Amino acid sequence: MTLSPTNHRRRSPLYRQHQAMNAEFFQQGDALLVDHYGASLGTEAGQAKSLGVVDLSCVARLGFKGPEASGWIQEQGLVIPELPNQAVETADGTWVARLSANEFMLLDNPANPELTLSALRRRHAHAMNGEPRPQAYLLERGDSHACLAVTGEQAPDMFAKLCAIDLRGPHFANGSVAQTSVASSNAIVIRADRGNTPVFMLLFDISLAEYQWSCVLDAMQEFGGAPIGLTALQALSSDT
Amino acid sequence: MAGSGASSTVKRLPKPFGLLIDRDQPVSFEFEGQTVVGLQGDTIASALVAHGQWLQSRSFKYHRPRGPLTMAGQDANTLVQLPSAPNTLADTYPIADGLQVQAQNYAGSLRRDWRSYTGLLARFLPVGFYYKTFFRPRGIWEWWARFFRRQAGLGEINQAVSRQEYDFDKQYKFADIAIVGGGPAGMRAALEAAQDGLEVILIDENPRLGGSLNYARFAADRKLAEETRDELVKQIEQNSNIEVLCNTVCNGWHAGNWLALIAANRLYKLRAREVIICSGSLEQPAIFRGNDIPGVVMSSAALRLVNLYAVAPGEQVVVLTGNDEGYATALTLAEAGVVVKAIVDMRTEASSSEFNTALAHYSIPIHQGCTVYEAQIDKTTQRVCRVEIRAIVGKGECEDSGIMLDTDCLVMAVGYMPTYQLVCQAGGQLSYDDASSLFSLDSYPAHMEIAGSVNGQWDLQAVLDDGKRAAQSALSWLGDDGDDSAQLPDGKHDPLAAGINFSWPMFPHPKGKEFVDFDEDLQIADIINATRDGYENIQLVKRYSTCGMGPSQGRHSALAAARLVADATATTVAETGVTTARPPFAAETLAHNAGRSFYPARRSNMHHRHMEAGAQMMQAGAWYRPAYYGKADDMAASIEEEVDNVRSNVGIIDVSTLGGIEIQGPDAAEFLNRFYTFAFAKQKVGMARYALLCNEAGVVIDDGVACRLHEHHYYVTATTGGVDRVFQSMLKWNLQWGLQVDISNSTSAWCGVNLAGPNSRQVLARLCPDIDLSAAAFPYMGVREGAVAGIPARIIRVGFVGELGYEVHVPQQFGEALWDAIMDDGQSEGIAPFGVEAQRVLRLEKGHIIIGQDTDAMSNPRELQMTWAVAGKKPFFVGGRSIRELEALPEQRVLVGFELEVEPALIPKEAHLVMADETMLGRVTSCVQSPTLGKAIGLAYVPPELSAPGSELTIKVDEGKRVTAQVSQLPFYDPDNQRQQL
Repeated sequence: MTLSPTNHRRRSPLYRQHQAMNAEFFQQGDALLVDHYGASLGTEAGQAKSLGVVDLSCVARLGFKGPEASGWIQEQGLVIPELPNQAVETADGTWVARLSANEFMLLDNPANPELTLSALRRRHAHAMNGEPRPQAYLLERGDSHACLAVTGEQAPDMFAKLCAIDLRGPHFANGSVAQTSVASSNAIVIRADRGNTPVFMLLFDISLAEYQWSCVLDAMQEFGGAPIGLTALQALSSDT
Repeated sequence: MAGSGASSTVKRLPKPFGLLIDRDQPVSFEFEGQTVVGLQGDTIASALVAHGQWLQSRSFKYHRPRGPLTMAGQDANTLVQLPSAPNTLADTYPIADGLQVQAQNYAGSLRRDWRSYTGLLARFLPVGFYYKTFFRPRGIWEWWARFFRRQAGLGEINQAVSRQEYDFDKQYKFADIAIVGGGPAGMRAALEAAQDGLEVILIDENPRLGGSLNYARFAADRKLAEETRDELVKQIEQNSNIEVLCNTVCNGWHAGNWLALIAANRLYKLRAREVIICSGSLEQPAIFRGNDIPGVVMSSAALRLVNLYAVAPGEQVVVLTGNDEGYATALTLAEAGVVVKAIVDMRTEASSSEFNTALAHYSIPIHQGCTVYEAQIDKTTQRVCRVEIRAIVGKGECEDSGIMLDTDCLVMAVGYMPTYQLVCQAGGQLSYDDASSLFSLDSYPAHMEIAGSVNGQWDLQAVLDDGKRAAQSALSWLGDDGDDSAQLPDGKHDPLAAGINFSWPMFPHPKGKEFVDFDEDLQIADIINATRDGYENIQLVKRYSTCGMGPSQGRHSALAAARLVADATATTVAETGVTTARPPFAAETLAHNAGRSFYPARRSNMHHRHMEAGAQMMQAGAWYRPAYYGKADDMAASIEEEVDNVRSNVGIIDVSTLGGIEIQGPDAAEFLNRFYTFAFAKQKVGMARYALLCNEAGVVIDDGVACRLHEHHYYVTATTGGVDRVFQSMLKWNLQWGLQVDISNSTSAWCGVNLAGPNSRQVLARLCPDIDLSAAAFPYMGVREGAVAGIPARIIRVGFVGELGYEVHVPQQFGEALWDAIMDDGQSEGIAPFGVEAQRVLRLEKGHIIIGQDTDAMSNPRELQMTWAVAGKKPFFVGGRSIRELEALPEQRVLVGFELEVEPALIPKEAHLVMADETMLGRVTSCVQSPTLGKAIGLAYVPPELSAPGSELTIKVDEGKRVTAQVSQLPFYDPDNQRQQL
């Protein structure tokens, strides 16, 4: 049975684009994610290694901000990067990006959904109901930002058409974070490799999702890039 | 074609001449409607010259016949029209099968351009003629401008060109070391620089690396250049650290070694840690009567024709020279089998170069101490046919008579100028030594090096050594030791440089037509007359005469103009200098600068539901919002229907674009107290309060509501267009205050609707059974958190449109589901969406202002009648001091409501004036026909004496008509607020 995003309350701002490309969805939490597009399941793994883009907008993200944010996150058992503009991957695949001394963004592992972030959200709510309240404030980054994972060896060349930062391997190593402009709009780029393949998490204001999606697709056309589903993205992890 | 016509059997010079062509690949194209067959690798110009077609274009002003001058895209003599683009350089544009080429800027035919008779009027069109002539009577210039534009057309833009052909874009590039120029110095520098994994980008405008090694002659043994080039290219190809960008022009140097590179339809923005400029030199023309006639070419152009395209520039060539380069050219031509009829050497002493020695074999007559005084044109072929040679008797002076020589090609070799533009764009200084006639460049910034002939090096080994030195210097900078010790040793200019420039290759003729600037048809007299008109500074001469302002940007006129100005003003060339070099180096299209269009468009999660409901969208900043729902030509009726439905049933409007800011922390209330005009310290949790924001001058700049969700947590709304400024202002103020608050902009995290109308409670009640919506439990300005249709939500009871209403804010990605749920649920209550236009009517009926529409850069709370929103007893708030000072001054104006009943055409519009006879008293800020009240209502600034209800206002409306309106009490609708507080 074909799943429809409109049967779910949380909907990616890009679900119409996915439907137009004959996406096959699967359910994760209260939303649908793209498993693969049409008949391209067999080719998407290769596409992911050269140049692909995955919509992760419905995968959970959280932000924590405030003078006690770093301490509170660490108290929850998570490691944090030492410096701003760095990101680290936890054992369960969650990425913790440090945007400033007191601001963090956490990206859920789509293969291990909501495990870490839902627990963090519960613990934070509990803490905020107690006294004293920690000065570590939760930011709903899952809704303020859309997230695209741009994969593949040619991703830096594609980004060079949209962004002034040098995202090539030696200059933007795994775990690097750039708070920059992509296609003339504010964006955060986090290098979060999977296996041997470069992966860039592109986060931007969610109201720009359709605009940014069209820009990325347009820019990657020159390199033969195309949208891919979560299956192809996750397959990269085992490619070491 | 002149000569052989449309033939594919045109004779080419034998190998090894013709480096770029494939003799086995004929290519057929059209020029002026005639078929021309060239060879793969030919440019348009080389293919045409191979057919004897030197006439390829017409000049800008006098429509003089013009042909290739440099064969390197450095001049405007070969601008042609292609179907997809005007002003294409024929001497660099490659031919392709089926390519259609037209000459430009002629009337009649290229060969018989009747506008060329303009040249007969040249003596009546002196420099500055435009400025002196076409300014009277007043306004006449508009007519003349159209005339001149037709007269001096520079091709036509074909607007039917498909997007693919004009699909321009931009791309960033990065390098440790960028080298501009792929000649011997650049290639040697690249190899030296590409060490230890450093990334080197080598940029060259030509189709293949080599630079002058591809065509110039560095020794009597012509294999020296060829073997040097092949070895360097081979090493570069084997070096993975070097990226070669051929067919790429570096068009500008910008701060931080930001280079603008143009390659085909792409603009590369290259950032390099170090830049090495190996841009070479630009050969300069001799200035004599007829120096612009087709067939009169630079020696480098003749060498390019021979060595790159195997094309003989003529059948009996005359070489005019002031240095040994002319002998090198003559030797190459002779070796290629071209008849060199004479060498005319401006110097008094015979050349002692190895080239001259080698030339002895060919017995070419040499006219020592002579110049070409005039070149003459063959009226049929429109090509040089004869030159007059005279002995030089002084600086720019010749004997009274000379000898005539028949020729079909005159080659000029009188000197060079460094290709200084990029270096000077970076701040480098170009200096000239009057004694040696040589240029030098210095004072360029750190992290830039120059090498090769641009650095005064001419001997091949000196050039190669200089490239290596420049790379080592760049490497030392990258090593972060700032070691500049790798500067050139003594003798910056190698011995060969000394004779490279002939000091004064300019010979005025009584009849003129000795062109200094080919682009603008400027002659010697034009430059001298500019100085006589009082423009003695070279920069003023440029602007007055337009010398150097054409497509060539002074590449061939700057030196000659400087020499002439120096001579006319009794100064040295060194003192005169040359004009400023600014980007771009070469002509670039607007499409390159525009690139791919990026217009960020913001959409709420409900956007497509609006489209499906037939919304006409409008832009609010980057956001797209529904203006109204209905057909574009039915706007008024659609708005009226939407207003009626809100007043009588229930309407829903997308308010996701409203700003949302989270203020959290122990000092949250104190922060708001300081930031906004109202008092927030005692605001109860679960309640919202109007928040008016002023700047330090007491001017109202934004408004919203502050919802207290927790003792330490406020959710503050702001206007769609103002939220970013409000957020930044909050951050700025708290940097000073140091309060314990965290401020975050959550605008996009929330998607919201305003459910408004007497039936709104019924609709919402069914969707959120967990919240008591009764008036007692959830009063006006109350705030609740709960679930709506199972979606976590913040609900604010507000009344912007003057009805019972609820703003429901949910996480952004739930927006569409919320919309669906409310629309489905509200069908029984007659729910319908309404847009921004209806909202504007509704709020005006309620007398609410819109910041930015009803306020301006001077509006303060008192004149807006909003002192109720200012807590005057607070010790401090932003703008408080100014507001108090303003209150002590006499009131200047008041924003009042007014109403009138007139036919639709007479309803005032925004910015219409309130008048007393012919004196302006105020202005209208908003005015609509109210469907609810059946009359026009509005807001206007008026003097205080006209602000009392009942006062009459005279408003000047469209077509200067005047209508009378009455000032009325605000609000117009539901003055007791009974409806919003149901």
